[in-house]
Amino acid sequence: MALLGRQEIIARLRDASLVVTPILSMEQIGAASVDLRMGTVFIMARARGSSHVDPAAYKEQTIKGLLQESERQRRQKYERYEIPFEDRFLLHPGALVLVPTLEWLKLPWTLHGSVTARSTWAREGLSIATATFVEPGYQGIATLEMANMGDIPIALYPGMRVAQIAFSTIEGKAERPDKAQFQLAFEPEQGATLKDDEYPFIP
Amino acid sequence: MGPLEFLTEEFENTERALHETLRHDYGPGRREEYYTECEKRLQAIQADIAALTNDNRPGLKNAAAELAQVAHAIALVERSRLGEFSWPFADELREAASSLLTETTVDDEELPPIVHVISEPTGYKIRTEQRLRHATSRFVTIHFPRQLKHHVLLHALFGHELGHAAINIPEPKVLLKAAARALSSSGPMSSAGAMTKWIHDPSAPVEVRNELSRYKTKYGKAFQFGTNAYSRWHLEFVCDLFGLACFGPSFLAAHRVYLSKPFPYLFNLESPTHPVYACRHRMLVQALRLLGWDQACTTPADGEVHHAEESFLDFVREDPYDARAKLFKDGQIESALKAINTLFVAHPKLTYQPIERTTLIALVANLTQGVPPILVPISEDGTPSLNRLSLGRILFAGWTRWLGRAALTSEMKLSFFEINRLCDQALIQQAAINRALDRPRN
Repeated sequence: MALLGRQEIIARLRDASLVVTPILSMEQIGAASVDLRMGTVFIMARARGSSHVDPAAYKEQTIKGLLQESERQRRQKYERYEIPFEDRFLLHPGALVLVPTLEWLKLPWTLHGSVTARSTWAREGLSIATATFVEPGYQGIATLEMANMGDIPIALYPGMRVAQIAFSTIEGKAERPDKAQFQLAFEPEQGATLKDDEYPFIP
Repeated sequence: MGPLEFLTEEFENTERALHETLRHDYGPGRREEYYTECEKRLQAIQADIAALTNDNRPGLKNAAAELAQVAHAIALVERSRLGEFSWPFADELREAASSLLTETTVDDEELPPIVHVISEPTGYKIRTEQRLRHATSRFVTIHFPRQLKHHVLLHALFGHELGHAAINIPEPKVLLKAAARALSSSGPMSSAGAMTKWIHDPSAPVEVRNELSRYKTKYGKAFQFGTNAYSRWHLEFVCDLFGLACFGPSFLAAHRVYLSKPFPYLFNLESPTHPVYACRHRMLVQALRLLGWDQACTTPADGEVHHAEESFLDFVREDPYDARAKLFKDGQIESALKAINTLFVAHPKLTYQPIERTTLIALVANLTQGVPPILVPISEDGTPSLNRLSLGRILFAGWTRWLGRAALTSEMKLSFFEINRLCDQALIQQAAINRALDRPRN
């Protein structure tokens, strides 16, 4: 497993075996990463949405066939905003927001990507909450899970370079027989907090 | 409560509603102007009301109507939610509408409209205000169909609606009327009488004859076209040509997908506002040929993409209707297009520019790989080459990918919805590219 350097990233972007598009400036490609810009959709927890996240409630609703209720609660949990370029979104201390990247990614089965905050923004308290792991074969926008860990609000403008993605090669075969093809991801989706194979561990 | 007191109450409520709209997002662009325009109109109405008495019924009626118009504009703010329509497409339309619908005063001052965008459950519409007594700027409202939020390929139909909006503006109106005159210069659409004769032709399809018979039984007289229907049909034909001139073959594809009917010769006899579909399609196919847009830009050497483009063009060139659908001679359509193109001289960005071969190949390759259709190649040192792609080119590539899907080898089976979303995503990315091109770092 090796991290791709600038020259290799450029070569792969040029022959389209790796897609990160659009690249708007030369500086967007670093020594071993590509900077990612914020897209125009912001999804954040709704104050009146839900009291807490409980996988057990999700399991109960699913087993009882209360799928509409389960989906309603999932949808109610978040507020969705579309913010055009030059408009801002204020991220308050402690708040978490899901934002798609402006760039469209397409990774071959031989690469995986790791998304982290750019250090410039990390120093302001902006954290890409998790180092998002972009799986081999993924196609779509990457979701940035951004949290303000500082003491003062941060104004976010779509198009800002806030994150970066580094690519590593995969050893061995990565294709999954249960996921022959990724679905295209157009914007952040609230994931199901519980997968079927986790049921045995939830009351 | 007397009428004047009630009107005053209504005025105060409207004023309160306007202030409440500050809580809402107005959508991008000219939000301050929208609020200020409503405020100015309310001030003028307030002055009118101050001079009224309970006896002045016409004055009260006029003020109430003016107030209702402002109240309607205010309510539209609350109905505009960015998440319910494709705002990059809306931005393109806003720019087109602002250019096309700008009016010029006697002092040569330009008065651009204030364009507002909303989504509704109904179809595509662009509404322009008619009554402007207290207005300093005209409100233009673009209505996106809510259920088709991401279906940008179908949004080419807004080309037709732009034509409708332009007919209310003095300068475009002259040229659009000239286009209508060209279409009515001879043939079955030359007068209401000629139209009536055409519809009663014994060789008409059986469903038309049945419908005419039903009408006669119901109303005790044979159906006749009136002057209103005559004007409306011509306006619709002109707006179809206008849409074609704006979006090219993509307009015709959207027109066929969205508007074609199981009975293409039928129309609503009780309210004959729109011409029969078969005739609209035939006219557009003729116009497409006259404009030279029925020819592929790719060549057989381009392999799959060429076959895909031909499939798309076959769809828009295909004319399954009989001779009855032909209402206009080529010369009439050419004259109408000439009048429309004269209008576009002042608005060159509005007119469709055919896509280049290399661009189409690259964009279709993107779509085939499940990547949004934009063009940003990078050089060996990592410098991107930013390209300004027009909306028309992105739509053309999208339709080629969809209608030519059988010809394209791809591991991905993309649905119509997914292709639309990829094109919608491309519009957002293209807006970012254009921004980077227009505003070099300073």
